[in-house]
Amino acid sequence: MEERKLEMMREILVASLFAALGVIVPILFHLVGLGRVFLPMHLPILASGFFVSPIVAGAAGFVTPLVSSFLTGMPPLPIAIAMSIELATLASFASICYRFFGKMVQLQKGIGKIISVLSSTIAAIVARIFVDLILIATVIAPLLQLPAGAFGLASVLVGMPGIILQLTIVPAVVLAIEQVQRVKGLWTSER
Amino acid sequence: MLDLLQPSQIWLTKLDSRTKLLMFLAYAFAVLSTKPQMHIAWIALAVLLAMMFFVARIPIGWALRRFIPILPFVGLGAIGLLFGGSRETFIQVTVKMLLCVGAAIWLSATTPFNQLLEGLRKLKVPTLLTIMLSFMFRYLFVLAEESIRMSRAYQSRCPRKQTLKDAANIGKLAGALMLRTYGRAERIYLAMLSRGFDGEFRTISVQRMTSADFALLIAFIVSLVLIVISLR
Repeated sequence: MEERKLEMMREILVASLFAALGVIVPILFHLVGLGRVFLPMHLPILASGFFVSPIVAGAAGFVTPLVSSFLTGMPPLPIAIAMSIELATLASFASICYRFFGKMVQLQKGIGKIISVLSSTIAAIVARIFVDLILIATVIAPLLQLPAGAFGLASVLVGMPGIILQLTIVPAVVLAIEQVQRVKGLWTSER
Repeated sequence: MLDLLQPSQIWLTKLDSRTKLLMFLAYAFAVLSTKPQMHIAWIALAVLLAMMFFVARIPIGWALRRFIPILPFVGLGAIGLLFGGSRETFIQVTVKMLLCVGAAIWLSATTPFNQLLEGLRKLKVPTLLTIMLSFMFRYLFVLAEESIRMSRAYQSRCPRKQTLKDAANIGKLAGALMLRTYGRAERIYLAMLSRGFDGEFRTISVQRMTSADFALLIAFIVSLVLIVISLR
């Protein structure tokens, strides 16, 4: 019981730091004048899904836009609520898919690992787009009296560079962290 | 952007954080529940917000700076107008955004984050979220320092205006930051264990809801209801 509690705490700590990055990375992008088409908040939140359980990942995704809105003013509040749902889906789907594909792919080292990380990333992004198009554009946006177009197909197309960045950066980061975990035996999350 | 205001020691900042949190939520709900073309209600809500700023003695310059990040969103909406977007929708979204952000600025200027967390805990928000928020806030500024150092190093090696082509490099920078963050999380966890952390957070609660809290909260909610219903 004690061990489970501590493991949960480790997951919360990792997710919190990635969530804090979810506030900082957008500022980093804005500092060098690169806009919101790169979906910078999605990068660390998606990555966190690979290291923690779906519930903790979902919670990290949920709080990040709200805290960012509270501390930096971006995204503005009504949009932050919709983004909370979007990011919670992204992170928790990445976590669920990675656990699922991890069991399916037998070759856990080498190419099998790469396949499971990449397919989980793609599945999480697809799930996020579905939630955008179906839930947020048709239910949440009208409830918040936001224009549905802000979360519709146009917004998905505008965010394409961000999706490409997610597909390249996130798997690389996840694989690099797992590589470091294997090399450094002291790390607490090593299995 | 992470420039937080040290709340001035006035009676408002000494109120229970739950009162201010509930006032903020009630205000945001009132703003979001207004229908399109309720212009007079929006003006009344803006006046109420201005009064809240005045009572809290929030510096105007600081507050205006906090509105800057929403300008790109307003700009995008304005571009949408050029492509045949609805003018009414643009006005409605912009006004609601400004009012909600204004309320969030008021809350952040009157309530230190630690008190806000305590308020959330007392309002029975799930422990997972409150612990996550406390960790997040504790390490946000450490990670911000690190990211600024990395960004400065990048810009000093690449001293020119960044273009779209640099997005991949910035992405790699973000990737390196994520690697370092994971390492930091592991080190913090080991440090917590070595100090005997057993998974329980113990806090001393000093905040208490008084009659002044209840009076202010009720008066505020009544005025919101009057604005939204009478100016419909």
